[in-house]
Amino acid sequence: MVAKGLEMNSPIVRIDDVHLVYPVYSVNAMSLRHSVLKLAVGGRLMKGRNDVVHVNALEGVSFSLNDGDRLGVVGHNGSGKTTLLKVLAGVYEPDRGRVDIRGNVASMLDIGLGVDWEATGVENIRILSRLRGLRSAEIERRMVDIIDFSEIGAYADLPMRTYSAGMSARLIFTVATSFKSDVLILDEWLGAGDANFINRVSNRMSELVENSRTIVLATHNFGLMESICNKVLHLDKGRVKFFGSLNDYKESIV
Amino acid sequence: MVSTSLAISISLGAMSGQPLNEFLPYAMAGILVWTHFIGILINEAPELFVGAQGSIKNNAFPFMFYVFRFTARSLIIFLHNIVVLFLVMLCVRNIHIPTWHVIPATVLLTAVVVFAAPVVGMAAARFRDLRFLLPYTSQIMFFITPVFWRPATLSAGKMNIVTYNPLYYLVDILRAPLLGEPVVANAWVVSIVSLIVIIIVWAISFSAFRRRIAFWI
Repeated sequence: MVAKGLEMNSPIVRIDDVHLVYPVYSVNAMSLRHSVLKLAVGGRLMKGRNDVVHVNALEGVSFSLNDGDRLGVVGHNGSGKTTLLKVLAGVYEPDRGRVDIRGNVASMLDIGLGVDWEATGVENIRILSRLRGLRSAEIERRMVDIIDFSEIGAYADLPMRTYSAGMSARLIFTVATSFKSDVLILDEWLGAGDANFINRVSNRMSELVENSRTIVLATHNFGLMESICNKVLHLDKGRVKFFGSLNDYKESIV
Repeated sequence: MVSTSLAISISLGAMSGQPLNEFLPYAMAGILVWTHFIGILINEAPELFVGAQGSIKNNAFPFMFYVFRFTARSLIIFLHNIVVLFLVMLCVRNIHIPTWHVIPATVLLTAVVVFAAPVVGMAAARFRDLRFLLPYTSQIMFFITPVFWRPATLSAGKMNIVTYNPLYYLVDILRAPLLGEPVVANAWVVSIVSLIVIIIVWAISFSAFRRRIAFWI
C-alpha cells in the first residue's frame, strides 16, 4: 500500500518502488578453491546444495518523508527493517527503484559499527565525527557536551572495549545526534540504553525534530516509537503493510 | 624490513661473494620498494574491504575512500623506511645520491596500488580463501623477481624470467633512481603499460561489482 496524495512540495526522503535481493553466501560459496573445483566437475558433486541463497529483502517499497517527519519502522524480525535502513543510508544500492534523499545522512545502524574498540571514548568521538566531515575545532567545542549527555563520565579516557553495552550505545547515539544532519537513521539498538536515558533521548529527539530534521527509527519498542514518531511504516516480508500517520496506525491495529 | 634485508644481504652476499656495502643498499632498496608497492597488494590488500566492514556496513562512504586510506598509510611507512635506507647506506659507507626519477616513479607506483588494491580487495571479499592463497604466491613472486639479486647473475637462458616479468620493471623504476642508477631499458614503457592494464581491469570490475561489496563482507 502506497501513501498517495500527501500534500508536499519537496520531500526530504523519497523511496520509489525499491526492490532488493539480498544474496547470502554459504561458506562453500565464499571459497575460491571450492568454486574452481565446482567448475571442474561441472557442479555435479555439489548438486542439491544452495551455495548462494537469494532473499527478497524488499519488494516494491515506496514512501516519502517531509521536513520534520519522524518515521517509525516496525515489523517482525526479518521483515526487512534493517535492510531498508541500509538502503536509506546508501550502504546497499537497490536492484530496482529509486532512492532520493535531499541533504546529508547520519546513520547509526548497529552498535559498534565504525567504532575502534581499542581507542578511548574521546578518541572515538573524534574519529566518528571526523568521518562525518566535521572540523576538529567544532568537535572539540562539543566534546564536553557529548561526554556529559552520554553519561560516560570518567570512562571517557578509557578504551571503549571496557564499556558496557549501554554506555557504548549512549556514546554512539550522542555523537550521531550532536551534529546537524538532514536525515538521521537509527536502528533498534537504541533500546540498549536504560530507562532514564531513553527519556532523555526522547527529549533530545524533540530538539532534533525542531531543527527540521527527518528521523527514521526501526524499533520493536512501541512506547519509544509513540513518544518519538509521527509516522509509521509497517513492513511484512519486505512489503509495505501500512504507511501513514501514527494515529491511523493505532486505529488500524486496534 | 631492516632485519630481513640484513639477513638476506649477509647470507646471499657471502654466497655470491659480493661485499656487504654494495649488496646491502641494493637489497634493501629492492625489498623496500617491493614491500610497499607490490607486496602490500598481495599481503594486505585482501584485508582492504573485509577489514573495514564495520564502517562499510554503517556508512555510505565511497569505496575508494578505504583505498586512499590504505595507500596513504603504506606511503607514509615507506617514507619512514626511506630514511632508514639512507642511514644504512651511511653505516656501510656507500652512499648513493637519488635522481629526480624517484618522484615520477613513486607517483606511478602509488597509482598502481590505488587501482590494483580495490580489485584484490573485492576478490578477497568475495572469495575468503584468497587471503590465505595469495601470500603463498607472494613468496614465489618475491623470489623470482630480482628484488634482492641482480639479473646479471642469471645465465643467458634463464633471463626470460626477468625479461617477461612486469614486476621487475615496476620495482626497478623506483629502486634504480633511489640508488642513483639508470633504470633498465623499457622499464618506464612496461610500467606505464602495466598501469593502464590495471586501470582497465579496475574500471570494469569495480563498476560491475562495487555494489556487491556490502553483501560480501
